[in-house]
Amino acid sequence: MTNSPPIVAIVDDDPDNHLVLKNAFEECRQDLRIKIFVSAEDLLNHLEQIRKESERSIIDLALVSLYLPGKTALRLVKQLKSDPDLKRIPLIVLSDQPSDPDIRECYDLGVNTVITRPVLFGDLVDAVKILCEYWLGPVRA
Amino acid sequence: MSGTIQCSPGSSGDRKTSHLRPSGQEKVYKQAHKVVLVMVDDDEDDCILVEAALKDACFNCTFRCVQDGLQIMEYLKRSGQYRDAKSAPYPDLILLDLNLPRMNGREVLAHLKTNPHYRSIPVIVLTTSASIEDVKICYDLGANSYIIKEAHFDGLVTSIKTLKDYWLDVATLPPKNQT
Repeated sequence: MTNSPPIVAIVDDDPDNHLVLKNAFEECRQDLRIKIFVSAEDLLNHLEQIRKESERSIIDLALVSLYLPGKTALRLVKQLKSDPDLKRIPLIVLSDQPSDPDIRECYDLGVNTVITRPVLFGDLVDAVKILCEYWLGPVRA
Repeated sequence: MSGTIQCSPGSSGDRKTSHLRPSGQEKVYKQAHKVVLVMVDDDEDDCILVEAALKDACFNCTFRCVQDGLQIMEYLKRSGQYRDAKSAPYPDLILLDLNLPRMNGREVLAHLKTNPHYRSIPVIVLTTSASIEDVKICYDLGANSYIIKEAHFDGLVTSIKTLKDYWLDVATLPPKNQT
């Protein structure tokens, strides 16, 4: 296992969500690099750029808001999960409603997990902690 | 192999795995209905061990174990010995071993993840194989997660507890397309 800090991508068009999620991750562990993307296109451009420069895995975990404008979240899931170089990135979709009809489609398209965003910050921190332990393993020295 | 895993409050597994909220109340896992967990493993001893680990980790669920890829297909289609909906409830999660007779785990995974009726069911590969190739192939085939099965029971309980925290408390599972 590499000692370089795990890279977590947050894809969300709402600046408030950036702040809350970034704070939740930072509260859970300090060995992460958080990268914020404001749209699906923003993330894809970044991944394309990195792909040209390096062969190493570029992102260790991606969190995508289900509510990106124009249903682009579903298109992003489809694109990432059908790209042989990108499909192994653990891809988590954040929903606001556990009964959202698009959740089924997210799983159909190959997302690793859908998570309903907890309302309370403390619950969000609990969820992010479990999420990090599950996908990123122990804190890297 | 079938059973219902139900922890009573204050059982040893519950004390070990739950944590207290600021209010002092026990944490309540959020899945609204009792999750149905179906394991695909030809080794009956492994099914017994996982069932015991589920109890120790307080993973409340309805647990079923089928022996190979053809049986899980029959189970999902409710054919053969799995016609009864009550004894063969539709899975919320599938735990899949890789070394299976007749149709190996990779073939089962490929079959599940290319079938529009089944592909939304989260599949967690649970195997003793730590081969990077197996990990890559399984994720390429659409596995939702890949967990290395611990050789010792305590390690298995820890893995199952991690699964419980993640899939019962944090994840939102897809709606079932069949009841």
